[in-house]
Amino acid sequence: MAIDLNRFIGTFFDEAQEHLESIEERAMALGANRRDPEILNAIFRAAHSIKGGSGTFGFAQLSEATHEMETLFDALRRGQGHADDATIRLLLDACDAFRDHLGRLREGDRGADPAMEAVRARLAGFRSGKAAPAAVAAAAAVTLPGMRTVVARAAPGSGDTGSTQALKDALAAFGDILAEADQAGEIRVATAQSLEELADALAFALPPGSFELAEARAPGEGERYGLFAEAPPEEKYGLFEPAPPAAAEKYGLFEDAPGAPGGDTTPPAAAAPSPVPPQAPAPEAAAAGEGARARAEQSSIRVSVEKIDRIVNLVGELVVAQAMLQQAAAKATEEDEQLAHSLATLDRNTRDLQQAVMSIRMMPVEFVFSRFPRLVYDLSTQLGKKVELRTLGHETELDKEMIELLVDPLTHVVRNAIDHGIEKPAQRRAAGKPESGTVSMRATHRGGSVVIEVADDGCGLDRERILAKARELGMAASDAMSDAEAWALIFEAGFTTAAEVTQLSGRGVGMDVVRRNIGALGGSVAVNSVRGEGTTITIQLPLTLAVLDGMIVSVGEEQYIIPLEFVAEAFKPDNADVKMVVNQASLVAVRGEHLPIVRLEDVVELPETDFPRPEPLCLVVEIDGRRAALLVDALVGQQQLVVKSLDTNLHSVRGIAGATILGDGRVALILDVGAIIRTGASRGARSPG
Amino acid sequence: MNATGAVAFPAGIGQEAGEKAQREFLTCRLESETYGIDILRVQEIREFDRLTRVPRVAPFVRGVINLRGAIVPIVDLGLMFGFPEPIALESASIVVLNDAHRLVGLAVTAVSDVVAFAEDEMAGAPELGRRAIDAALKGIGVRERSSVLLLDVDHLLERLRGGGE
Amino acid sequence: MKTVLAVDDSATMREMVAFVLESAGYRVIEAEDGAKGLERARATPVDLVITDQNMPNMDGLTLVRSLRELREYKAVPILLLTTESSDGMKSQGRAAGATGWLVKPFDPATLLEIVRKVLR
Repeated sequence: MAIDLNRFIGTFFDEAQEHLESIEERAMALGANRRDPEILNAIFRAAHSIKGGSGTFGFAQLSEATHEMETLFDALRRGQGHADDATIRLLLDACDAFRDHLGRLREGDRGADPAMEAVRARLAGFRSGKAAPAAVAAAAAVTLPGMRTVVARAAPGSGDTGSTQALKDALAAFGDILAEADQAGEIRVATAQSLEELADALAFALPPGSFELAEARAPGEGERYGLFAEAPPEEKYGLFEPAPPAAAEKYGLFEDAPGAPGGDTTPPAAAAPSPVPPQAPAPEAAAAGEGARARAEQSSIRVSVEKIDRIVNLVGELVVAQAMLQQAAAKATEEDEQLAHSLATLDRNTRDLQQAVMSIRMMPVEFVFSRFPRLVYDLSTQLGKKVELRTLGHETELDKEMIELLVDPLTHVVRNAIDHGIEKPAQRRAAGKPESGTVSMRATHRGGSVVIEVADDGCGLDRERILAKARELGMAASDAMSDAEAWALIFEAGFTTAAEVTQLSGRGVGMDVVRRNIGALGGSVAVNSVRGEGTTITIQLPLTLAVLDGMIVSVGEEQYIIPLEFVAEAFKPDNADVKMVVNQASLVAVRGEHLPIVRLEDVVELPETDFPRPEPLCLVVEIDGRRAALLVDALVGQQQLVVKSLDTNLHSVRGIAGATILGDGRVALILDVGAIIRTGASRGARSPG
Repeated sequence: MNATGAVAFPAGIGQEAGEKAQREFLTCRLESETYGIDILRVQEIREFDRLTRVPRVAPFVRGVINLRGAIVPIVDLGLMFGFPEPIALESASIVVLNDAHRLVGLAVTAVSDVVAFAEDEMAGAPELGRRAIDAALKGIGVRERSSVLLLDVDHLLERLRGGGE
Repeated sequence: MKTVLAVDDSATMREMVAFVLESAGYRVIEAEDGAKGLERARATPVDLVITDQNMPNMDGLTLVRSLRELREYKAVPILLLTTESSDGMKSQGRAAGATGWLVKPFDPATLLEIVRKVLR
């Protein structure tokens, strides 16, 4: 049966990638608990799985290196030796090398990779230096570099002289026979092959299981290249014979075992006929394989992102078309009840469809979080700090695109937390804190958005230094500023709080980039900090980039969108509640709280117009507890909108989060509420009282 | 980017053996002046549609339009070149440029024609003494008594992007 | 059409088993560990279970034992995939109630052959 192995190669690469991530993750977990058998087991298993697959596809270097890793962890999980920092470092380096190597293999480069050889040698050296010295000693009569001595003997039960001779003959093809069979039937051979390679090689000549090799814990596994190449010799069966499955078989059936064919315990199987006549090969069936591939039950399928995006775009257009239809038919629906009903149904179905489609793009935030253990590990070792990373809410889902765009800003925030937040162990001890600092990342749903918090228990922001730095940079900063206002300064361009700029963070890119990136995603960033206790950065994001519930407001002849989730309330302000400063409405009292007033016409720099302007309406907008009163001319309506980026063809614009297309085909801009609130805050700060 | 001044067009499409290399340009009018745009960069020509103004952008960005679902900025070529008055959009033509999937609409007074120039009919950009225009020129096409100033599309797009921050 | 449940934590392996068996006209459902395998076997009656030994959550031997405790799986054939062809593994498999064993890596013909035998 000819089967193209390549069809499975993609799966293998994906899988190997996942295993590498798992190894990496657990390597770092080992730091906290070096003897946890679960961790050791999991690493063993992951290495084992990669080895198996790479052997199947003939990726020799990967197979060899993972074999060494597997062997090392098999010893560790059996309590022979223990993992230390060097083990973790080695594992992480190995993961890096494996990852690069996989990338190369993926591109079809099967050439020798020196980095892989280096890692393999390190793993092997580590193993022989640390664990199971006895086992290695037995085969220690190494004659040449790269050569090893292997002890082989025929398996008990098949141990007649004939099979020992056959074994010796086979061995001679792969190495130098050092010692003939002794009384125990052991043959010593010097070979350049690894035990596993040798076992595999022998398996071609001898019945598997008919011989044993020293340390032959798991012979014949993984490294046989071309798994599906050819049918084996016919002689390798004979399973139903009463004789116990002798060494010759590649599989066996237990006599009288439950489910065994012909066994008395077997009830008449369901009347379904056998799919193929017994004994007869089934070329037709094999040929029809492609067609039969449709799986009746499968928990998931792989679909390319392009396909999904195309569906998302089409549905987005459908939503707009639907809205246009609704608008066009608005008049007619007043008279025609059936039309109104049909349109309402269409509206509902369209929304449901859109929601269903968007949910395809959702991915757990785990995909971002999973990158951080490694970052935290590398960074803290580099800086000589002790940091424990906690992640919570892995399962929280976010739009795939958002997840990808979130990586950079989050990386920056976490770097900052470790670099500037967490103190060195000595400092922490002096401050009466545990030596090891904690950075926690938590994702939660809050209404229509996802909130990601990065909190550290480090030294907190230094208010004095921030204010001083701000003045130095010529920013408006006063000692009267509230903490929140002071913290907001770190988001200004060019701002860095580090007393000394480190190479890791603090030069050039700062929190302003984080804020801009998050803003581009339609989200907001807030900071909270207590001196000596730590800093929390809170990132709020819409669930999905592509769709948003928007409130349409008007000013003059223009219409703008405000994401509904940021609108707290709307009311007609009473003149008595508006506080005038220099003839300009500046603050408005809302239930005892004075909110800074921001005029939409200022935000959008509305040109002079003859258009009649009504009495303004006040919208209270809120992000992370910071509020402002936005004055607009009128509310036009609410609508679910497909978000488009201005950046695609133009560039990002301050105060504008994006754009959308309204039901009538016009473009409307989506306001950046975070920017509006900051405008309000700075104005409030400037105004007296 | 190409070196300024020198005409550095790659060989045109439609060039056949033995035939002189020719490049085609869409000529458009800005008030009374005529400019040529490399036809390979032009995606389509449209009548002006409803525009949405965008705050805080360069003055020559008149706003954005909906082009089959894409949000496309409209650049007033006149304003970019320092003409005192904006183009009357209601009667303007929009030349939509496609630059590596980025779409930009150029507002011009009118679109006139498509002309082809052979290599020996094109020369480096002349100095007009108007900085905003000079920088945007790639060369000049001359045939008989008429001449067309050839626009450097990359430069135009660069300036649009630079209008951000 | 007979249904085979393939339990293996390696998607590559599952896909290969599924491909080979589906090409031969069997219906294959998959599970990625012992616990999920048990769940699936409970939800859908299958005619044969092929399970890996070394898996997270629940290993193959435990799966075999758990399945044998279910009335409907008392007599359904179960094959244990193993990389260890040692007698120890075999006797453990047998004790757990497995119908047979198959050494990994295996070729399609071997897989088909044993499957046909137990499903005859």
